[in-house]
Amino acid sequence: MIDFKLYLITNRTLCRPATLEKAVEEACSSGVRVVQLREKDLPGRQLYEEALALRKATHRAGSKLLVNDRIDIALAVGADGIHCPENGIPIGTARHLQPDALIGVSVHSLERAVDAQIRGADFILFGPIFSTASKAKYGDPQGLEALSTVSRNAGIPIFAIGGITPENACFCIEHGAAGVGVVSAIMSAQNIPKAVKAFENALEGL
Amino acid sequence: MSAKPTTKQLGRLHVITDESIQRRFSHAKLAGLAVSGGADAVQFRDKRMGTRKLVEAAAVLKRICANSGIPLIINDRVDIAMAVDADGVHLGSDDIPIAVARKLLGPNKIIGGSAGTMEEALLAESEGADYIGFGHIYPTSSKEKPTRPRGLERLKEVCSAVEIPVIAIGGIALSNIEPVIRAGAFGVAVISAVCSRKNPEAATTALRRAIDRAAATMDEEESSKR
Repeated sequence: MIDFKLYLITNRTLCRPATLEKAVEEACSSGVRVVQLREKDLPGRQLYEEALALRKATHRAGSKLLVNDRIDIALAVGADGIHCPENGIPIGTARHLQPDALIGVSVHSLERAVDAQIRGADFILFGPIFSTASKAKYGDPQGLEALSTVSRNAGIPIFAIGGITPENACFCIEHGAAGVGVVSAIMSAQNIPKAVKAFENALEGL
Repeated sequence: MSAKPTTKQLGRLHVITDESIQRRFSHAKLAGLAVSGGADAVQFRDKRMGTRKLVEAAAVLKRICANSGIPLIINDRVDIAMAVDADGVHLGSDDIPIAVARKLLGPNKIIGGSAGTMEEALLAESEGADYIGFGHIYPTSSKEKPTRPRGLERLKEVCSAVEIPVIAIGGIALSNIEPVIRAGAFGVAVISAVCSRKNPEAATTALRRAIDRAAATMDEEESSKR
């Protein structure tokens, strides 16, 4: 089920002036297999419209689409799954409403990672591993040792997030991650296909 | 003109719980007071809570409403309605389209659509809404409104034009509820007229009686004409 190593998470403010659909289209045609639509500030109508556009873009490339937090939007556009933020939709509720969903869960501790596994998550996004621009929001970097501990004990695949680049992605894999979650390194890239290839090269060699 | 028939239990006095214009009462407390005061629909609206808290609060409201057999309607968030198996949703123009919500919720759930113009009302009806929330009728303090109050004449026109019931909203109070019902509204939705009152339960009861009285008077007038 987890047949990807690179998990792309959107931020439409980073890819301007390109539309999110265009950026995702480029990323998927360059090899991204799974995309999470995460535009928390959008009202329901606009989020639905973005989700429809991304569903088309991901379909064209045969890639998966997950929607952050909003199971109604996920179901409405036929997304492959949902991503549950730490204080978002409960995992059990998401599983109940979309039994065959691919469910990713964001956690910031081993305790929460184990809990997510018990509740039926398919994979976990753990971080921040390195320091990021949005560090103030998510706290100090957890570091690679914490990643290693969570990867060994969670029982489901762990994706590392937070300050991931093609240069440091290999360290995450060495510390037990099944893959990496990336926002800005791809969304804000001048050349999205090139950025995706750089990650692929870094992740494939391992 | 009489209220249009409907097979769904829509309620004529919708109390919208609110924790932003007042801080004395929680959503659950307000819902409890509204239900015991005679509200026959509760709408849960909170634009600030995260999804986890919305689900938790809505689950409590669902129990309160289900115990009294009245519908719980969730504002904006179809996902929250699905999560707690609420009785319906109320959708505005920034929310998920009504037709999409209908597919997600099925034919039996209540879907209300906000309208401020005739066009919006007709559109919501054609998309499959069960009722129209039309307003704001009078000046209101509950929300910053960029538009002017619609008034009773517009309300009357909309009530005549659509087949589905119209719930009037915006500045509705005990003193002005009768002409709203006379204009053809099936019912009203209130926020501050209950939530901001010293005694929300008593305020609800007074509104309930005023609606019932206006409806009864209209029925009498109808039958004396025959």
